[in-house]
Amino acid sequence: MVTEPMRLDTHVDGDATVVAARGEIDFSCVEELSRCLQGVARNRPLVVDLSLVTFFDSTVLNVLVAEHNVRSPLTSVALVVPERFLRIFDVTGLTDAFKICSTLRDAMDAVRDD
Amino acid sequence: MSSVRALAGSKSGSGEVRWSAKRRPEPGPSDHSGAVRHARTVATALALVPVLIGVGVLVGYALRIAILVQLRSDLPPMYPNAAVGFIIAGTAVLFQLWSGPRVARVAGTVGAVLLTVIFGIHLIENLLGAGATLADRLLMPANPVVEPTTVVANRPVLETCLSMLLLAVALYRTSRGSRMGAGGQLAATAATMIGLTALLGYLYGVDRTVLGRSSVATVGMALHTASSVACLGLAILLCRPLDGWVGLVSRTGAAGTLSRRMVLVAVAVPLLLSGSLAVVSHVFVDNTALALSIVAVVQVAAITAVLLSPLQALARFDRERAEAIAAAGRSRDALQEQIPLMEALRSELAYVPTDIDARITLVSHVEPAHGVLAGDWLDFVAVSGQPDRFRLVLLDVSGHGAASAMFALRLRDALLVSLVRGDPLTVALSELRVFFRSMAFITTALVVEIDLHRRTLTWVNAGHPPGLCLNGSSVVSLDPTGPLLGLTNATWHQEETTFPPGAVLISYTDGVTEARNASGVLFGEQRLRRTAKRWGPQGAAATVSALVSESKRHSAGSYADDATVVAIEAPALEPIRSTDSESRDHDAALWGPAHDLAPAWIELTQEPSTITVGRHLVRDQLGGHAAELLTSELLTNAVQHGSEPISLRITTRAGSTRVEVRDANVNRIPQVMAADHERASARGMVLVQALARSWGVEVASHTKTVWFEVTTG
Repeated sequence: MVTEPMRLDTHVDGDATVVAARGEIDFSCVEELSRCLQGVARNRPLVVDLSLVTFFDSTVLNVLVAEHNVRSPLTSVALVVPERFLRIFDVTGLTDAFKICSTLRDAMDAVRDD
Repeated sequence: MSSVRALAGSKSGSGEVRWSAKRRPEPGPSDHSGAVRHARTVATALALVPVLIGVGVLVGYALRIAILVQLRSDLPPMYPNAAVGFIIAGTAVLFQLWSGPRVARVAGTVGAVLLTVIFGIHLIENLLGAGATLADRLLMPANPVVEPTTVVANRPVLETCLSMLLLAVALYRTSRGSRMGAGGQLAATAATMIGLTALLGYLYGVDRTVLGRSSVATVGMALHTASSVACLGLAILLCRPLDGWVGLVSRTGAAGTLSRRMVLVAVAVPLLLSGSLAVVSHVFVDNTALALSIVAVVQVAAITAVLLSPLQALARFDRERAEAIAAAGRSRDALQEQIPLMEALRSELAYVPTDIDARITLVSHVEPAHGVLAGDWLDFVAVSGQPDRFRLVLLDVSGHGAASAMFALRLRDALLVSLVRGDPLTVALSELRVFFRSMAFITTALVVEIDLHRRTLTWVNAGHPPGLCLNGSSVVSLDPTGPLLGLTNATWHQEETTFPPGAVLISYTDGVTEARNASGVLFGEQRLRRTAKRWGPQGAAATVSALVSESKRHSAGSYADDATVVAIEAPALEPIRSTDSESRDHDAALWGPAHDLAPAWIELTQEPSTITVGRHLVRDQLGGHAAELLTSELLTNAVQHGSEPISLRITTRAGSTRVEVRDANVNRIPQVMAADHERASARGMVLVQALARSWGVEVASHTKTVWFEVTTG
């Protein structure tokens, strides 16, 4: 099987910052994701797009929760999560902590409603 | 052997050429470079004007040549202090254009300070209405060649002083570095405007400019003063042609063209309007209504005429864009037609041999350079009628794309026939010579025969990166035994080494060792050997997985060239006669290597890359997402909180798989924490609890083992 290491792409779309990740994320590279999230403007809503991610584990959840805690309640974090990963958020009780959407467009709408 | 090394070197050398030829042309530092060259020439000419005028005026005073000082007796003269100012300013600008940054900085600063002192004093004197002062007397000859015309004394008028001070600011900002900033640009633009205002005043026959006071004795700037100020302002702006609005105008492409034409409109419209007003009101002094109507018509016509130019440019851009889109569409359609062909070639070459014999564990990873057809090819065959002899071949044809893929396929078919037939390896390679008569793809190959009965490896290496036979701490290098394929009269010899139980044979193409990091450093043979040596004892799967993830980590995720890694494990037990092999098939599928023992513990190091390698091992054996995720969680805990030695074991039984992670920290036992969506840690065991069929912790005196079981099909 072809493995794809993590890549991150950050851009600003309207009011929101979009961090699109792809490839596999585990403890060996999660620090980079963390630095990336800390580096984006915190006065704007954040959308983390996981639709091209092929693997992630609880270290990624921890980074997302930390970012959510820093931002809350001023701005929100929306996530684009493909169907196959929803269960991870479900069993860790995080489904309601974030705005979880299935497409980037929905996520952009969700943060715009704030 | 040294000649062989040189040939192998030349192969990778040609790889370099091929790569750089494929690369797109580097975009220039900006899309301005032509404009920059022109700007410097024009700026130099503009800066020379005030210097020459200044020198001319001083000569006029010295030799009493009135026409140099005062162009006509009814026009205002230029005063010597203004002439000195222009020489200083013009020279300083020339330094900005032609000397290095340090000299330019000194010249700009000195010029700006001198100008500020001279014209600052004059400005204050003008504002206070003071009489002739020391500064005037110092600079004015005792018996002037012309009569002073300014209100009070022999000094430049207010607007000259003001524009020279603005020029001093702009000059100073320009000398500070590669950008002059908005302030500098504004100052230079304002000075240019003052100069142009005065020049327009002359053009329209009005000798008092906007800034000149309406007092009878006040006369505006001299004609040559105004020209010098305008030239200096423009010259300073052109010193930094990429900056601010000047940069906008000097761009190439649609934006630049449109900007230039719009500037033309902005300049031409007011000039035409005021010019027509001046002429018409001069001619039709008595008939205001007629004058106004004529002016109105002229203005409408003039504005429409000048606006045509940017509008035409816009229309052209539209047309060009439509053409470009159509062309892109056509080339996309052409590409689409080729896709099925490329896919067919790709799947032919991407064939990965499996299930040749139950005793052999072969693991491979084939990855073409991003998005292109690979020229790498790998195969593993049994020699016909010889149950214990197998042949591995790894071949690398230079170049990508359909041509090199087709060539690789032709070589494959010929080579496979002779390898299966049992021809000597050297003969099999020599016979390929016929294919190289018309084609010139540089090709390397490594062919290895594995004899399970004699437990030997026999190889012929045609300029290919050396394979490795790892056995415990010893590494045998399967070095080249002859030149590249396709050279006339090339011959190869074959060499042999032992392949004892537990040994692992590794072979790869140079795409792996030539993976580059951001600063261009290659992954290299040394790093590859170190990684192979460390992971070899863990078996073929672990070694391939580690080599792929290490080399990709090195190059931040992608190979520049096709990359193939293959590993074969020597059977651990006495060679099983192939007649037995059928009954072993079931176990082989379940246990990987063909033997009845429980799988071995895989030793891991306490570093983050272990997590990636470990979960890839689980994924490659089990597929499925949950087992990989939970393995990642256990290994993360072990790497973060455990202590060495850390090891991993994967045990598959019918319908279920157990993954165990063992480390030496018995003081820290993982626990499932209550769900709390604000805590930024400790979710790993929550996932294990939720997604594993069962899990547990076993603590012994010096080790702790965390395990989980998942259902597998």
